[in-house]
Amino acid sequence: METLFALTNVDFAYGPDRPTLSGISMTLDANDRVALTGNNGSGKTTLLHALVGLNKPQQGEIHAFGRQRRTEKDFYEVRLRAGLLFEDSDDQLFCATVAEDVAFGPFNLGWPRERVAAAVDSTLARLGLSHSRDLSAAELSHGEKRMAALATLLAMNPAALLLDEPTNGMDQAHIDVLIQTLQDTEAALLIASHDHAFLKRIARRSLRLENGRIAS
Amino acid sequence: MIGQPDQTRFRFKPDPRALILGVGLWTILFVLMQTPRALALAGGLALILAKAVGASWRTLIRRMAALNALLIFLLPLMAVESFALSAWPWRLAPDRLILFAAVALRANAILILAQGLVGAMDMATLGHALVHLRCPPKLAHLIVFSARYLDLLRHEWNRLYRAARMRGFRMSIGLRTWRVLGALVGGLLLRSLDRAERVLYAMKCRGYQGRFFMLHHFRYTAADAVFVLTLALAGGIVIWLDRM
Ligand SMILES: Nc1ncnc2c1ncn2[C@@H]1O[C@H](COP(=O)(O)OP(=O)(O)O)[C@@H](O)[C@H]1O
Ligand SMILES: [Mg+2]
Repeated sequence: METLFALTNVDFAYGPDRPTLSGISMTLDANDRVALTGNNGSGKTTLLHALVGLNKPQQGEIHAFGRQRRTEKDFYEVRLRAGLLFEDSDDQLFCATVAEDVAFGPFNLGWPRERVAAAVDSTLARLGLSHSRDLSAAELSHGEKRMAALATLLAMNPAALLLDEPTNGMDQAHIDVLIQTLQDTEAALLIASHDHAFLKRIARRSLRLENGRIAS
Repeated sequence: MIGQPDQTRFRFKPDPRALILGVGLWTILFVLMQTPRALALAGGLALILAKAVGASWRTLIRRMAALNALLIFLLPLMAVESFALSAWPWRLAPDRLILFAAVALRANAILILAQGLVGAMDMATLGHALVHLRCPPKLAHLIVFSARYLDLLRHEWNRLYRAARMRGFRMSIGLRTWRVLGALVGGLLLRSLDRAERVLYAMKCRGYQGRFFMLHHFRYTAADAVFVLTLALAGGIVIWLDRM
């Protein structure tokens, strides 16, 4: 099976004092569905950000989509193929309307306007968001914001989805749509979450972080 | 932030680009006009325009009250023969009074016009329209982003302020109030910087390389052409009256 991400002995620290990630080795294969668990502050968000090059490790290697990735330029391609759902959706919805936000990624992929418009429509419909396409994120509920942020990723047809606490602030109806969507997708999944009921329905294996190390 | 569309009442909705063009044109006219007579007429027309595109009386009156309160303070500065303590009692100079009236009318007219623009569209639409009018994309996107993030900033400010109030903070005139307010603003600034960094990350994650694209297209209709023409014509008449 194709390996999308492979990390070997990755160390990362935000400052000089103490490392946030130490000696992380892990892989994510195509079709893999992995739960990433651990207490608050154990480094889940930091790890997800490292996978797409927002945190550059001080030690160790990151291989992604067939190549070692080190520089900002290396990670450009990684980011187009792996969608990261941010912990706070307000960071991710920066356009004037939901539709513009969903169109942002596909336009950057260089798709022609018609294809972008079609992708926006079908993605919003798939997530039950068609009625909010012309709303601003400020007008959405927490759960709708979460789904809209997910839509911005799905519209780009990513090979992998890295989800940071996806069910946070969602009500059960949205969680059900989310579960259905994730079960249907062909993208590899790496999901940081505390929501064990949710993880049980999606993930096939799990990684547990403790103080920046992989415990199991 | 964006008002609910009012469907119960008819309201003329010009294409945002037409509105910006028309309002821009009129603002230039206001600056060019000199006589109170023409300015008063133009102000009346601006009021009709503002009402037609949906500005509310309440906000109009509130804004105008604030502006005119300021103008009253300027009155002695601008319209007396000699603004010196030794010249007390001050005497109004008729020619200067006319000048003052023109300034006051012009300020009010521009305010009404701007209110008409803001009443008719949200910041996001304004930003989009500006891009289509060949305004530098950087500037237009700044406007679009501030529309989105001003709202978040307000929420964050409310959160910080409420947290301070929960711990017994009350606004008053005193050093302590200023210190607490300073800390709150500092907190807001730090949060904004963090936020800006995370938004840039989010943009990079979706392949941002410095270029913006937009899905939204505006459509010019015959009504918009008539709208701009009418504004131009009315402006022409007022200018003619001004020069007469
Ligand atoms: N931008 C940052 N700067 C400095 N320290 C950070 C930053 N982000 C996270 N940390 C610290 O790194 C550790 C791991 O945080 P994080 O990855 O967010 O954990 P989790 O997502 O598992 O809750 C925490 O101790 C946190 O305080
Ligand atoms: Mg986290």
